[in-house]
Amino acid sequence: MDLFTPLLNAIPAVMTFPNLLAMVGGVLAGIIVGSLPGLTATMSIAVLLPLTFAMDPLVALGMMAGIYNGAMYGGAIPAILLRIPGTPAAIVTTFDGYPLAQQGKAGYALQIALLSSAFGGMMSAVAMMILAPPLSLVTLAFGPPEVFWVGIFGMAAVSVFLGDDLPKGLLAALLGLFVGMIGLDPVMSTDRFTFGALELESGIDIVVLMVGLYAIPPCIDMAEETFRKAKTGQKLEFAPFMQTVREIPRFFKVWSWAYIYGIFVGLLPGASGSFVSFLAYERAKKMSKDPQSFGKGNPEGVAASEFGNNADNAAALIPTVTLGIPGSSVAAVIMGGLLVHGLQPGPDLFRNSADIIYGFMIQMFLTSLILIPLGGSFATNLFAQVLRIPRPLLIGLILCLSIVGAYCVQNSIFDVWLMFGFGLLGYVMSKTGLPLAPVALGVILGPLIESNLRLSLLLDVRNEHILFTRPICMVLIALLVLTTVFPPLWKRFSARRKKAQDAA
Amino acid sequence: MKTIHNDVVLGTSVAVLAALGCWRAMDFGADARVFPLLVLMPATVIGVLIAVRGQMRLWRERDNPRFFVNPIRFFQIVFIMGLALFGLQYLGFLTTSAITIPVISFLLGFRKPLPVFVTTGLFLVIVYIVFIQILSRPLPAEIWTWLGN
Amino acid sequence: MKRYMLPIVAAGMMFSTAAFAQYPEKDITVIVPYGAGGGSDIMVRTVAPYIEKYLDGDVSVVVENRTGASGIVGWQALHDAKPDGYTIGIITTPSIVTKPIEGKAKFTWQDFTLIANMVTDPAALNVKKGSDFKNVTDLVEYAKANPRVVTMATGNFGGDDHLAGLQLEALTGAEFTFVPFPGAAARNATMGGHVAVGSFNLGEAVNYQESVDILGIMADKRSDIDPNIPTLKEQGFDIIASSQRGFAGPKGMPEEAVKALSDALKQALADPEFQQDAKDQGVVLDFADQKAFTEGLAAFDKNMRAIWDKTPWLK
Repeated sequence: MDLFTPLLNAIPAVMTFPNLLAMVGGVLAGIIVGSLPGLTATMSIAVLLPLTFAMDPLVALGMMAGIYNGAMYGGAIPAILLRIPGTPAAIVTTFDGYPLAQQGKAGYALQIALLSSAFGGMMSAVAMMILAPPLSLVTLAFGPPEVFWVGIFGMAAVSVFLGDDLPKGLLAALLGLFVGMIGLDPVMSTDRFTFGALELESGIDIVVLMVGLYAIPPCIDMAEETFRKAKTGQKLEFAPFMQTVREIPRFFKVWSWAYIYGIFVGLLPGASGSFVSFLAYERAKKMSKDPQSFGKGNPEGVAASEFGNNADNAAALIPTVTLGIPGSSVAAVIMGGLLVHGLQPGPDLFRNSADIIYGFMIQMFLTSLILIPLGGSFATNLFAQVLRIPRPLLIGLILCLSIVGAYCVQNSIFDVWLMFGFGLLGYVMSKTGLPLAPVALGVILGPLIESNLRLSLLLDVRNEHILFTRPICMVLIALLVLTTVFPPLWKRFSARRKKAQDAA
Repeated sequence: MKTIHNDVVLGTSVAVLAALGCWRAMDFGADARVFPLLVLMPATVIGVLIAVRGQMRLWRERDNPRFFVNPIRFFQIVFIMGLALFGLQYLGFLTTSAITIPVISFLLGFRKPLPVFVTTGLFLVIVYIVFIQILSRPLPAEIWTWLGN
Repeated sequence: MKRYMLPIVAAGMMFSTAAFAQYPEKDITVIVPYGAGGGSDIMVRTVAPYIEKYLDGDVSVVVENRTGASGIVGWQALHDAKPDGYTIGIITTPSIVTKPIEGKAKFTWQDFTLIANMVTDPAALNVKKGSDFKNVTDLVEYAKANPRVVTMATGNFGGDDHLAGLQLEALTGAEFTFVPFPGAAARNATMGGHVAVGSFNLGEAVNYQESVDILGIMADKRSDIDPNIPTLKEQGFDIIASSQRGFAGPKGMPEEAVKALSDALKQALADPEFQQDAKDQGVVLDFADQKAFTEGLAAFDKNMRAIWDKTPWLK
């Protein structure tokens, strides 16, 4: 079958007025939702789902695609302006985005984030259009043993985020792993460190942790530093947009790696896309000629993070539409959206509702594209006003927003207190030099690694050591050795040889 | 000049808590405790390491970074935050915000009434529209809604 | 509709002193103890407009997700709510029955006012398309000959999938290795061939028969949703296991409210448009009124307590 015919056939259905309106509205809503810490694309789509029952399926899907892609960029806005990530996936964006903002280049950083998000989303949609059926085989081939190694792969990336003080960096990572462990254990349902609190049984939500760790400490810091004098914020120096566009080739290398990671992790169900940006950032820093500049305002860091977290968007939908296996929590809700419109995922979807499913792929592409004008002009300028709010006023706003954000995760006051506790913890951590990023990575990956390890051991009924003998596992182990063990050895070896040459 | 390095407090508390955690984890089933122990045992060791290193640094370099920039401000702001969280359950989210935001702003020295109240009002409107109207989140009920009953 | 309500209202007036002139007069909140976008959540959000349509009065049905501790957090909230008929919730088996038995909840299912059952999703045994196991007998024989070599994907330990597997073990003496996957991952593992067999509900399997073979369902009779699928009973294994989802309210809810909600739900479930929605989602509808629902839960409770006393499924 010709690859492009169904795509071309679907275009007229997409290009209707209600449809375009839904996409634009979705993107705007997504940007706002993403920029508010605590509100996630998953929750918004789930809640808006009933409103779409009466709509034409494609209009409903267009809105969902818009929210999805918009939210993934929206998370970068507070990450850059205030060092408070709007979504867990934007945590990595703070590393270089906030330093850029402090250097007075907030506008430039936002432009980089916008372009990276948009291209990440578009390229991801392209992968979905062209390769959905073959890529879905990857999803099925990855069982617990394989996913375990992917988790280890992600954990290896932590090395880049540990900071200058190794013991403290490691402690932060262990703290993250510990927090990820709170709740019922994934296999035997044993209560672990819940101290009898029912609210802790299903574990601590990453959003609650993130809001606490990232939003509260800056409030306290600002309060401590602000004396009588009200300090008005800085301005948002925008670079001419075309100038930033011309810089794009510089990011190609960083983007390509973020692309590979994004597609791959998106395909794996249960592996949250939040750690794609960690992987992409690590690769960008390791590849860079000037790794020291990362964390101090290198735009490549922003580019890697934002391209990565949008590159898994459409990819996570590939197993959703081909197999009915959602690749992420957002994808799960979108699958619900397909179902309520009578669109049953699977090969039948491509046969019977080709216009809708290919239309949806086009929408995933288009919503990423319209992110550029919408995110560039409207949203960014609107949010830039945030920087002009005097600090004492900003503190109260951030605090109240954190409260409502943490509350809305599960409609629970308990989570608000938990968020506050993490806020104080985050304050202590920042004062004693413990980095925050390893905590987030530990919380995201700890449960993934533990449950898949233990499931693998259960699956190994014939004592075949499936963790080491399954072919994909062997490939992953080889890659792990190649990327983490070899480079430092090689560096040492070449340094020694150079010394020897110099001596000679 | 304090005589105890921040890292000593940090390291010791981490080590003690992690050790307690290990002790608790021993009660878990055979499989359920492996991971907690794998995490908490190294954490105990690292805690001790950080504490010892901190004290040696203090003796050797007499260097101890300041913990609080302004302790009074710290306790003030944390107290208000705690109060806001507490009030949330009884006053409702919007009422609490309407009080907390101006109070913090006034306390920290920004006291122009117009911008303070306009911003607060704007914030409440945005929260009302996004969270309550569009996303229909069941925020804690406002005091005036349940006082009426 | 009005005519239908009159006797009920009259009956209500006689028994209750509260001014219950007309139910409902304000919006009804439905507590869903699971996350937004999950199976239960989507089901409730799909049925909500139909309940609104058939309720006598212009009110909305608002869904509120209260997640945590496999439903217990939401049920505790429902338990503590005012029993005025304006806060109701979803209860699911087996958890509503088994969690109290496990000692994890402070309430039992008798502490709620049952309204009506909506879904009964039978447990099913599923294998990857083209598996060597062609029927349940194949599977059981092999598992008997090779104890603990057959891996069976389930949901959480103590959940319906696991309990179904345990019942099969108890009946046949076969031994399986249970592998608890989170959420819908059990189906993924079965489709990918990472486990020999998957125990998950008919509703999760019925629309995926291109990749999985359903060996049998643990129901009394074949299901309307796909009558081609045999039961375990007709293959000689008399096991009934399912996951039910129904509506309930706090204890002491007014009779009128129960009746009004139950009737609205019954009409919603008979609505052809809703039936089509349900079929697309793989939801196996099964209306049961308060009486039948209560009797079913009581029998199930007795059964589960007997099993728990002999062989607790959680250690």
